[in-house]
Amino acid sequence: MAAFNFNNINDYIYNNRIMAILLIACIIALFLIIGRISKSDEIRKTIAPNLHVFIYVLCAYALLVFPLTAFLPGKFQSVFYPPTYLGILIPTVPVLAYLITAFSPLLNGLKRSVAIISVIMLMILMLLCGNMGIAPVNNVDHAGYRENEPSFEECLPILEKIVEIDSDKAYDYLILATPSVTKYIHWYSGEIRTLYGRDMWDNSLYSMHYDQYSEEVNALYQWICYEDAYGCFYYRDSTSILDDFDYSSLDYDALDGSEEYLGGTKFVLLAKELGVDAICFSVNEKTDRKAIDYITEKLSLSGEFFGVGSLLTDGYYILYLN
Amino acid sequence: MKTILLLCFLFLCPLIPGFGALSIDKLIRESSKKVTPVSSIKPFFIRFCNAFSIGTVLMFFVLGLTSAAASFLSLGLSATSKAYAVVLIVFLTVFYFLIVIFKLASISKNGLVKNKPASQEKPGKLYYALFAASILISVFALLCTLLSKKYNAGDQMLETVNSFLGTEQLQSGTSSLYKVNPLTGLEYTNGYPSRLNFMFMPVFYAVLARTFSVKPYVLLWYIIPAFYPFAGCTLFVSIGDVLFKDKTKKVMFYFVCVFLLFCTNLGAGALGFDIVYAGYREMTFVSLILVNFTLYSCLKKKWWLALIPIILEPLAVSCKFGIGACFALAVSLFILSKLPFVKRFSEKEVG
Repeated sequence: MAAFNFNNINDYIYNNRIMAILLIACIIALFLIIGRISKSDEIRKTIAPNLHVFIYVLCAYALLVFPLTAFLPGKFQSVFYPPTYLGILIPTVPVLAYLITAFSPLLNGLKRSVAIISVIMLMILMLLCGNMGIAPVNNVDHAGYRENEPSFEECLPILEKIVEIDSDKAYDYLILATPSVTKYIHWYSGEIRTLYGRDMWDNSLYSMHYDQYSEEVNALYQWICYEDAYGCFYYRDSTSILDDFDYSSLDYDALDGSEEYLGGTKFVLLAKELGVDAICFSVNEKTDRKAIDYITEKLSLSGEFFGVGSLLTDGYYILYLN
Repeated sequence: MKTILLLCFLFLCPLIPGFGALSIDKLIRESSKKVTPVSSIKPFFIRFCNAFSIGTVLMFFVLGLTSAAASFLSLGLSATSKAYAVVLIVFLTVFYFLIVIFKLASISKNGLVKNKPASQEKPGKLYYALFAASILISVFALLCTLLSKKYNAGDQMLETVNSFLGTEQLQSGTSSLYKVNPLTGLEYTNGYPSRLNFMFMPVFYAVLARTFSVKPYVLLWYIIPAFYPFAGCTLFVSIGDVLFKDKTKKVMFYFVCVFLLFCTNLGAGALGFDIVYAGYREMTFVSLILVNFTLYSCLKKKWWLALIPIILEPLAVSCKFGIGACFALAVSLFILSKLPFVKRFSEKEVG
């Protein structure tokens, strides 16, 4: 069960910043109606039939605006919505629009220029109270993209290629690809299987499934991320990850004692052991072509470059294991 | 061509149950002699918006129940598509005949005299300026939707829709829903929450993509994010119609709603920019349509109508248990409206 907590207080504030403003607006509205401060009959008559809506909004915001009092609605709602989405309890747009429209007769008593400036100030206030959408966290932007991550449209050619390869074979085609390509594959087609999924350690996705990844898959994920970031196929620093695993079943004779490309070769063999049919990794100017040729030749594999832009600047290499 | 058919389906179908429901409502009100026939006629724009918003919710309600029944019977995607088609045809035909019967009854009662709306206040320049501005903002937001990056964290709607379509070809005759983990395409190793079986939105999108041969990412990123804000805006017009009698205020209310919706983001209650890059999500549907429809029902004091979003919400959101936003809103407003001091105050002020 999802626990209700406010560990990520910034998220909470970010998503509910408007509440304080609305709370104040509701209090003013109630003062105007009940306290009879306003002498405008028009405003009172507009708001009076819907007093119950304002009382509801006032109570809901009073509960939600403070993390401590938000415990009560959170207790019932957090299993329904994440704490940051508790604001959904209030139809903010129509309520706020209703308040603004209902109070618009107040502008009638002002000078034309003052009224226009007031409206502009109100619009600026509304813009400042808002935000740009889902909060950016950990170098990930509002839409959830990491820095320098290729877009879906940029990856379309390689995705079409992968689907084309898959259509020539049976459904059991399993691919190990860079995180971006892995993510986009499942956006593009549901017929491809990948060794790991998008945001494989994202807890929010665990409400959708209970699957967990093995340590071998974890190691291969780290390797392919390294390939994606540095473009080096042999992954010299890989030995520390590989030390934790038992590779006695792997075909070490094929390695032929070449220490330089040992790391990359081991990972390719591990992927083959896990049933991977092809590895798709990005190639750029840093990619070691010798390493690719060496591993392909030594392990008797085939592969092909697939240039999205110009080859070796932002292209991909598909290594066929079966 | 099929994309145009899909757009016609999304933007025209809700009008049939919507106008049908309005006809029934009007018939009931006229028979109970609460209103006179001529004074109850609203301008076509308002009637269109009322019909579209009510029709959208009714259509989703019927399709949501169909999806739940299909998953209960372990039907596959193709069988669910057929069930959708049968239910929709029956549903639309029934409402179509209701409209025809109502029209015939109306003609026989009032003759062929064209009813004109009751005299209204002349709107003035502000009316047109605000209306044009709200339309411009909406169009600009939709253009931004076409160009924006698409939300790619947390949600797995697109992958789920793709997995339904991808596994269907291999498992014809059997249920192809939730057979594989949508994020990997591999079979579930530890299973998944049974709650997902009753989620109607991925099934609805998959059926649409399958029936109209549209790529799921085109459907979810470009077509649906145009449909939900449109339905939401029609709801705002309907809410404004309930709240205000003055035409200028109705338009001003609508303009502020559009401004708040498309020009900023005020959290979960007003998604704003989230619609631009994640308009297909269940949260968009609940926040824009269900919660606002609940408010509309409560403002109209048609409490039974609020039952529809209350039932639909658990079918739309991947919750486990608890009370939904629509339930909390409807029950709270119902209780508050029955409080003696609120009733007394309202009656006193309205006179």
